[in-house]
Amino acid sequence: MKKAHVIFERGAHRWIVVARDPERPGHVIDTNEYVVEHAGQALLTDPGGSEIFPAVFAALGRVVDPRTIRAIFASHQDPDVISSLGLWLELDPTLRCHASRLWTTFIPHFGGDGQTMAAIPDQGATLDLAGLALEAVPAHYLHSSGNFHLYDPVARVLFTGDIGAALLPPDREGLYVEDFDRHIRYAHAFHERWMGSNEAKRAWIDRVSKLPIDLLCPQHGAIYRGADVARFLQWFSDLKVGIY
Amino acid sequence: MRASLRDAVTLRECVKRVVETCGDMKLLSVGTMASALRAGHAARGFAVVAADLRVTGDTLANSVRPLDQLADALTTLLAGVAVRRRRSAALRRAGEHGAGGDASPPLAAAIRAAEAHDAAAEESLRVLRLALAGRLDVVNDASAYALAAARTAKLETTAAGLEGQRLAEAARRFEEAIEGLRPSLRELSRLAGNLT
Repeated sequence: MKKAHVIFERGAHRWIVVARDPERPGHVIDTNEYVVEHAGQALLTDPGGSEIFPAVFAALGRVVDPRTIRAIFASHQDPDVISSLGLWLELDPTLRCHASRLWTTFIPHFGGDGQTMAAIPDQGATLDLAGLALEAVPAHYLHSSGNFHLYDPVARVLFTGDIGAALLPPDREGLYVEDFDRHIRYAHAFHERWMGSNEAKRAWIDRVSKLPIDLLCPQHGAIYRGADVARFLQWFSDLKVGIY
Repeated sequence: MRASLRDAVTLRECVKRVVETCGDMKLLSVGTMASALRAGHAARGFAVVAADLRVTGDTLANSVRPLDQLADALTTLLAGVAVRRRRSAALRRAGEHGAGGDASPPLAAAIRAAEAHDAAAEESLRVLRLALAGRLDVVNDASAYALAAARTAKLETTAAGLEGQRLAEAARRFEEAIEGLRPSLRELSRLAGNLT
């Protein structure tokens, strides 16, 4: 069963992650879904695939009223990221889904109508959540050609989609990275193959290195916090990825 | 089946309110008991009534706990139904595009399988509805007893000496909390009854 955990809380501003489902079918990759809550409104990042929707929805509902979700942020177009869109829209057909402009006519194959998609331009955008300014940070070609991450400058949380992802064995259930060197072994092959361009990687590292980050939150695997954030950026910088 | 994700969310939020209220009442009753213990021998009568409130608060909090699990099961069930409904609808639409509006045999078989899933989900919903109704009966009984205990405590404050005012205040807050709980319980009964 998936569980919801609060990873940041200051007053009515929270980040919640729905993580780890030991009961998920083995043929489905495990995913993390994050909710940003601020002043009674919520935004859901990469809500996951339709196969895991019941588990995500049930876990989320334990700590958040799903009716407060106003928007969805899709880092890219993959099925494990956004194929549950149509199901979330059943709860609220007025939900808006923010994604790269490249994907605004592709993602509606998972559901929605002409009003659902909100295109993020290539250079990024600021998304308003009840007065909280969230930054859509470009991460193109990492791994998708239209790819964004989401930065919360108040909570100092960066949601990084597939960057930082680790395909952990079932016995490594921790929510946070506890031993970086042991953890990163499970991220190595994934990043080497999935991240397509060293140039794109360097541009992304330059961009996010300037941001104060307390938590780096990937869509798969454990969360990097504190000094492990810089460790990860250094590791990623040193890694040769994709075609080289 | 008419029940939807929205029904599950509405019911669950109502359960959250009930569970939270009962948790607050339990804390209040524990606080009252602690006051009685601090007052010592001089407030033996107060301690007896406070102990009664404490047991009542415990009973009520324990009685609502399974509601949380039932709301969880309902949410998971109806979320699963939503997934299957989308598949069934897509299969039916595909069937309508067949020759003469008829589904091909494999498609017809898939539609029948989807309908069998729907029937199984309806049965699960019926079982959950019964379980919710049964649990709400238990909670209603516990809240009625708690209300009686709070009112008795209020009456007994007249004989509780110096501690009387504190006990009266605790009993009044306890009574108010239960009075506030009962509309949520009625709403839960209505929501559970409408799950078809």
